[in-house]
Amino acid sequence: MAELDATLAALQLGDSFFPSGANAFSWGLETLRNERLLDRAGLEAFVAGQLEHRWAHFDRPALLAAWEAGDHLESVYAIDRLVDAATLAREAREGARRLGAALLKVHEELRTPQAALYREAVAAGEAPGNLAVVQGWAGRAFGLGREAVVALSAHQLVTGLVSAALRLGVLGHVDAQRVLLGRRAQIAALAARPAPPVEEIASSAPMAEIAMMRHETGSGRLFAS
Amino acid sequence: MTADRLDAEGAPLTRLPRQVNLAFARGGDGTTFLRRQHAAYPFHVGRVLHAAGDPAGFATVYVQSCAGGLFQHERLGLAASAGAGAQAHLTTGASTIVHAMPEGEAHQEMVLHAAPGALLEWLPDPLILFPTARLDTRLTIRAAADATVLASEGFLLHDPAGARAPFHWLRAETRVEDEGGELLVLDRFRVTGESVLSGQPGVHGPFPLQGTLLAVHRADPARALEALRSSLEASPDAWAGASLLPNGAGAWLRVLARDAIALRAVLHAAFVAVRVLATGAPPGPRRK
Repeated sequence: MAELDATLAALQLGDSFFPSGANAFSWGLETLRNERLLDRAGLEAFVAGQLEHRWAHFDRPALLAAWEAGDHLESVYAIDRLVDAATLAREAREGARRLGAALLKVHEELRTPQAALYREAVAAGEAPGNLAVVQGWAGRAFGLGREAVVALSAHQLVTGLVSAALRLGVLGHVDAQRVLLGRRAQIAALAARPAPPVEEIASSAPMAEIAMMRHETGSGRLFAS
Repeated sequence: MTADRLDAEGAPLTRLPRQVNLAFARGGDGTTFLRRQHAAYPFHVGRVLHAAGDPAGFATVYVQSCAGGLFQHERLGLAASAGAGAQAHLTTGASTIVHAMPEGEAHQEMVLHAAPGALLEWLPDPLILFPTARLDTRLTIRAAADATVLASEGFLLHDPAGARAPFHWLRAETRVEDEGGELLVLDRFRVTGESVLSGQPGVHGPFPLQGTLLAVHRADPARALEALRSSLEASPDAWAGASLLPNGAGAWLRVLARDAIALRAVLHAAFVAVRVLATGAPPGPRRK
């Protein structure tokens, strides 16, 4: 029963019906498409690159560290500040904060333990409230195990990217599902590697990062990043 | 950060032995001079130069390696501090070649410290990564609230055999701290030669070369960003963006490029723009 309960928790948090606000962000895809640096053929390789060169060494160690810190909120805030200092592009930083704030708000309304305290810390400027950190911390408070928060985070990254690609007209619905299916083995392989300690987080996808920086001054934008 | 981890200049200590340790200070007449200068093998530090066109008293110093590049098992540490109001430009004479490393790796660390009102520039030529090179490079910048620090880094690839064989890996870390040692910015990336040459969209795409310029300018980050953005020009051979650093530390620019000429052009234009912001005038030409 406990396992089924955890699966239901993961399904609830991973559902697009869950009000996370993730659909407002393209994480550089919009700029790459507009500047003709990405097409349908390159989309899955783009997603694979984000998983390998950013998520595996950045989001994943951050959310695992937050999961492990559990109800020791001061430690969670320290991880949160580190992740914020290591997110150099403004749109990536603000996007991660906005999504983290939206997630915290829902958890407070759902009465997830300590979510109200975390939100107060964000309001007071004590913690930035980054998505990956909030995901790891709140996932545990909501009943998810380590593997489930890792799977949820990777799943949301990939669905967020294909959903943006869909709305940008880069690919169709069935192709989007093919990308999700195609990335499962990669996510499992990346998740099986030991995560670096959070102090060693690294982000190595400069083309997507530059795309977000260029997006700041772009015109006719559909997305917030 | 506790006091026992600072040197006599108030700069954070390097983790590696220091072959170079420079302390710039501003004299009574406003001229910046080297108050302390230590250089051990493989480095040679040139005398203080005044580049024509630079503001009066502005110091330029070249740090050169006599060894012909970085070799496996080397561990090199450099430190430079600029005292209150000092203005100094530190650079290399040419690109540093990171040689083939069949078994080991090389480590290099630079620590920059800028006291109140100081302007410190560390603009080395991009690294040239040879096939099988493995390099761990770290840069720590500690800056007072009204100091400005410009720091760049970049890498090119070169295979003397002409086979486009890749380097093994490059790990780079840049930390920006406030005067108390509080972390403001952490830029860390780990790339392999294969990944930068893979053409993978979103990672390096068609641009294997990379460069970064940080303009630590806590007094007015928005103007630093404006300066960097104004320096960007559309080019088919380079792809760059500028943004605000976290925690109000200033602004930064990252560029990916197809070739060394395009990479250097973007970094140089960005340097000129920030120099104009900091001193009101573009830098004088420098011999390389």
